[in-house]
Amino acid sequence: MVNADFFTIEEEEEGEVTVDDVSVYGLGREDSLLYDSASVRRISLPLDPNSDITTFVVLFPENSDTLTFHHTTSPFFHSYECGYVLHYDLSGFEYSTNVIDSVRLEISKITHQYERHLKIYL
Amino acid sequence: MRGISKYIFSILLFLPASVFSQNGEYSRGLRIGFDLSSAAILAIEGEGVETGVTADMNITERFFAVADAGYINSVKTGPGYDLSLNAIYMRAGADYNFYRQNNDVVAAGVRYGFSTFSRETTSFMVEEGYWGNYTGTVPERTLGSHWLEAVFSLKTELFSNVFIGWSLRGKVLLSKKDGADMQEWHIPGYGMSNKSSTGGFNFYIFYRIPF
Repeated sequence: MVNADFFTIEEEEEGEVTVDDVSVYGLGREDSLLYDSASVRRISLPLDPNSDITTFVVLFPENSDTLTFHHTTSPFFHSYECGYVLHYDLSGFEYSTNVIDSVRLEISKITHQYERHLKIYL
Repeated sequence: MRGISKYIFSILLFLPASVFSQNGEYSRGLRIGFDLSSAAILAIEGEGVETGVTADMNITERFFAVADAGYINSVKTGPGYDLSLNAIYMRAGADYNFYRQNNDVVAAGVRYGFSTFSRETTSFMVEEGYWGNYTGTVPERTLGSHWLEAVFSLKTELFSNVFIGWSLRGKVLLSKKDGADMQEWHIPGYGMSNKSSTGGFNFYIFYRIPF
């Protein structure tokens, strides 16, 4: 899961912002929405472990953008009780800028399920 | 330690005091033991084969040289995975015997232990609800570690050259070679790799060959 938080830049100060009515799905999985007209500060995006590229479509009220991640999958043996979990290494990303102003990568090693990995500036 | 020692021994070993009626004789010999606690744990967890043997020999009146070795071959199954493990461990050290009435031993000592093992995940599966599950295998990897122990042990003769005993161990991990894809595993002979120190308890049956 790549955790992306929304921000706005107002007069050179970043502020976390809640975005209303946003929907997200993975490219190729239009039938299954990750977020459906939701009001969120953070979107958690699952990477496709069987691929090295995953693209998401983010539908804002006014327009939509795509977010593409390039990644490698690293299985990690968490413990005898839990077995294996998936860690990812982000090697790059692209995005369109219809609504999104810019995106900043905070952490490229996706290992922790609650950390912020990405900042999306609107 | 005289008459009362029989009773202390019996309480410590949960045996009737009459068992300890030998007196006086001390001689050199090689004692070979089999670790019963591995077998007991195995019966409970039920996976694979784990054996441990130990040998000790008195080199001076008070000092014993002690060596242990063990072998583990197991397949562990957990959520979505099968993990196979092949390991050997060895320990060597010395004991100082406080008890000098006969061939029984009450000793404190130190050990150096090391273990090398290879592990292989023949298959594993991680559920990924959105895109589809991920299956994989992890090829064989060899890991190693070593540690130091302080040991307190008791050995007593049941009847002609057959001994039973136990040891209580405090262990400190010196180093371990991590696998890139795991953070904690069971180090044979030591315990869990994520603990910098740990304890252990073993019980044994021995046969002693006098010289």
